[in-house]
Amino acid sequence: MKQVAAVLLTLLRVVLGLILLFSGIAKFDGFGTFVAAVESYHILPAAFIRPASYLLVSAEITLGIALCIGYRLSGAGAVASLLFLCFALALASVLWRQLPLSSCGCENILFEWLSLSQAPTWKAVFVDMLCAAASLFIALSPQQGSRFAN
Amino acid sequence: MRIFSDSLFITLWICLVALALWCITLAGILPDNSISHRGTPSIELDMPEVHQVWQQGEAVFVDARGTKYFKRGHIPGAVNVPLSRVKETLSVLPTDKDTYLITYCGNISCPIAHILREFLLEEGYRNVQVFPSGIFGWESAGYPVEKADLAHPDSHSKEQGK
Repeated sequence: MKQVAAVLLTLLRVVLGLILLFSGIAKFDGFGTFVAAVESYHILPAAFIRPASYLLVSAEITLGIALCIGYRLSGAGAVASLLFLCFALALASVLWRQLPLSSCGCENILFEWLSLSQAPTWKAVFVDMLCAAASLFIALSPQQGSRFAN
Repeated sequence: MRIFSDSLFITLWICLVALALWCITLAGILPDNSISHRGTPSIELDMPEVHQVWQQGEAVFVDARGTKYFKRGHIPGAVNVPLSRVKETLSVLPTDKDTYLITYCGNISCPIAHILREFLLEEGYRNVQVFPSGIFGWESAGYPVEKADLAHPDSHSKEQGK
């Protein structure tokens, strides 16, 4: 039973890791578009938009790799959970303020697989919250399914 | 306690990777700088130069601010491509990717004209420059400001032709 749980946990972290990794790489590939998307949220002061864009992309890539290889999983899970929570809050604030965004800048393989639109939706907020919960579960799980874990 | 120490380690890694990405783009190895290389190199356009280009109708001026601000005042003949709706509004730009485009926003401290330039270069426009002084610099220099509704790409050249 413990082995099954470990396999499922490994599967969960690898899937989350791949989502983050590919999403980060895609954003870095179209960095101008991503910076434009970050700006369009009207959350950060102008001076912070570019540094924040670099940090977000690097967070996705680093966390993606850490989750995939199982490096410091409790920390990676916790920070990934915070990252997804930030994404969810940012999207929710856009929806709350009714900003006319055509693209949320959050396109990734999960969103494509779920056929979510590029515009911010409450469904996207829910998916981000779900990912945050899954990441937190990985962070708090005593059996993190990695040889680096103990 | 372990979760905190691990989180700290991961955060440090994130900062290091961000620094590395920034250095990589500065060095021109990966996308951000290759965007600039796809088009003409970025140059700082000064006020008399921009005014001359505007007078001769050599470029399409692209206002990167929101529609509300655009309607309050823009460079005559400029088109509005707000960053928040950039993909929807791209159709107002000429389809010819060699058209000379000049992006601007509020003033020199406003970054969105630069962001829009990068986006337009990604969209395939090859000749895009930024007018850093923006609409406030333009207005302060005593040049005319249009306060009408959304302009079309051709309107400026039509006005110039009259």
